[in-house]
Amino acid sequence: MRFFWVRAFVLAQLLLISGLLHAQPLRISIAIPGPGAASYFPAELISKIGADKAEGAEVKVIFAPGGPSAIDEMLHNNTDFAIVGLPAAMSVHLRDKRVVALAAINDLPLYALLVRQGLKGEIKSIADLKGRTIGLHSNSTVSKSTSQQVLELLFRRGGVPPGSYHMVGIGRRWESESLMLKAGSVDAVIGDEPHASHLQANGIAFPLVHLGDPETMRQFSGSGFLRGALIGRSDRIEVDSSKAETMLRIIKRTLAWIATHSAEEFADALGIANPDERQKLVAVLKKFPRQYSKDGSFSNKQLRETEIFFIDSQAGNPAAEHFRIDAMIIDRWAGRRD
Amino acid sequence: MQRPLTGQIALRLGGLLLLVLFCLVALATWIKELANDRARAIQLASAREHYAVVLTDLDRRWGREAFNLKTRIEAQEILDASGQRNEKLLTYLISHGSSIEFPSLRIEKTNGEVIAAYDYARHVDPKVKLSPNQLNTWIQNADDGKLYLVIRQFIWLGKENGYLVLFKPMDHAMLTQITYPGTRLSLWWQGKALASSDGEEGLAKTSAGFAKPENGEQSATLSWTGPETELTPRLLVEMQASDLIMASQIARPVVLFFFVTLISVAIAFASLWLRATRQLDALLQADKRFGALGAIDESVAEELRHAQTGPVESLRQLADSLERHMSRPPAGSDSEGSSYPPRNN
Repeated sequence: MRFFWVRAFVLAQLLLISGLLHAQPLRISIAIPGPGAASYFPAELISKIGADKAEGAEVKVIFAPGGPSAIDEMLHNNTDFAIVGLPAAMSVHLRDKRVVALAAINDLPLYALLVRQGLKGEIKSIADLKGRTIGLHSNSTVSKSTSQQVLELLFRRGGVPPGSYHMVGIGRRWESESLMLKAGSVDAVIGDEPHASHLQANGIAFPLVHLGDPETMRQFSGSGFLRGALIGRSDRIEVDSSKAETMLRIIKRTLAWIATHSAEEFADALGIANPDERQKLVAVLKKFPRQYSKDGSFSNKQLRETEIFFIDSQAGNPAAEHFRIDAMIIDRWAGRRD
Repeated sequence: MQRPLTGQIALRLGGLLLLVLFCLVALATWIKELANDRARAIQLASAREHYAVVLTDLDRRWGREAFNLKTRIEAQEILDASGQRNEKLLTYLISHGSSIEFPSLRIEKTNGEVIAAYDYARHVDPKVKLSPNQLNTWIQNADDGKLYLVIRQFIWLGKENGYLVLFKPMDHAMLTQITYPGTRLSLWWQGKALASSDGEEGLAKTSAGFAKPENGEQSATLSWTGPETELTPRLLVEMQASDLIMASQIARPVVLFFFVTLISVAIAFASLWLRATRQLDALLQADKRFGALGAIDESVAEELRHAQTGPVESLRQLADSLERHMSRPPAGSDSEGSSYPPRNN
């Protein structure tokens, strides 16, 4: 009799283990602007460091040309989540209340206004770009991408009112950004890292403003906004929050990995084979060490700054002026700090 | 042992009411099912009609956009010179806002050599095989598992014709944009569901529920427009709308009707029934007391009066007859007021 119970116990354990082994991983998909945007590298890193498998999931990343397009992928059921600039998500939220922010990913906006090399000496300030053609990741008359908001804010502060320059959506692929500048089809681009450093290093463009520069951050209030945030859909979370909870655990695990590994290990994990690209990425990661959130928690201070940035960049839009950021923050899993 | 009359009547009345209740429930269930089936059939027919028009419209829209895109590229003469065709094409497409309908395109020579390509977001490069005169086909991309509609048309390359090959992803987003509440769409290709208007979750549910796209009580299938071949995808429309009439909604009038019937029966018959039993009881009491006393006293007279004013005619007559019988002097007696000898009950 005693052996019977021992055998039954062992059999139950084996069944449990084999069940776990054969359990299908939870499939999670995320849309991010990219590829190759430093702000969204944590999403690309997830499967490479096995943060998804550790939580019994399988994360698939798909790329979009800009923040609103990535949110569109989520709203149209192509993906479960999106990681985009919080200001872009706020712009979409004005029209679609389902869009909510679940965690902070990227703390530092590394936007740069780069002017094509041929205009060196001619363009010395933002005011000189009046009447010029500016390339940005994506633009829309309905929802503004973060790059569009940054551009409009910089130009207004620089004395160039909206409507006195041309905007062209050029996507965020390296080929399109570099090609448009080289061909002279755009005079400047509002881009982010590491493309900004690449454009400069390859002599294609020179930087006029870089938001990662502490002096610039001091000049432009609100420019310390929350750059990358995990975005979800409130209607889905209300029905079943298990996917969001799993995603948050994966994000926290990934951010913790980044916080405890060197820039070189980061670049190696991403699998960047080209030594030149690897070196440039390592340089950017070392130059801006506090780029990524350490634990995904929201900072009250940063949220206030994001709100100021958003309202300021959307001057003249009554819906934006009355918008309060807390309406779209779900911090029950990520948490909050000062 | 025989039941008392009250018990028998209560039992029969209770049985009758239960039968009424049963009939009401059966009728309500039948009406509910009939109405829901009819509503579902109408909804399904409307959905089938609606999506047939949607598919035709989509084909027309994509065909028009494909032709316009080719015209715009040709008008710029950017492919005429053999050098830097790719750069010129990219610059042109980026500057002009590219095409939302076709996020990926290729320009090929007629021998299949790719001379320029553009991808709005993701690089798409499925292996496509088209016969010389074929204008479009369907292909599943091995990289992302998505189904693509491939449209091919001639484009002028300056000295010769080439092909403009356009790729339209048939993904969850495309189905989400054309669906409406209460229906779930899935796109089936070569026996497998590849996209759903409810995303990955919807795809898993549909794949678990259907081995193949089929017409049923809650589903309809449509073939994509154009000549039907083994490569033609099928659109499965599943009705997700809740029933027109819910059980709780039909239960309310049934319960209400039953209680109205119950109260009506009680008002109409219970009072009559109680008065009739009281009349009969009065007769019995009068007879018992008369039997015990052998004479009519005030109580016997009261019971008889009660029985004479009751609702049952035959009992009233019986009460009159009994009173006459009790008032008659007993046989062998010659003086008034004498009484019958008491009975030993």
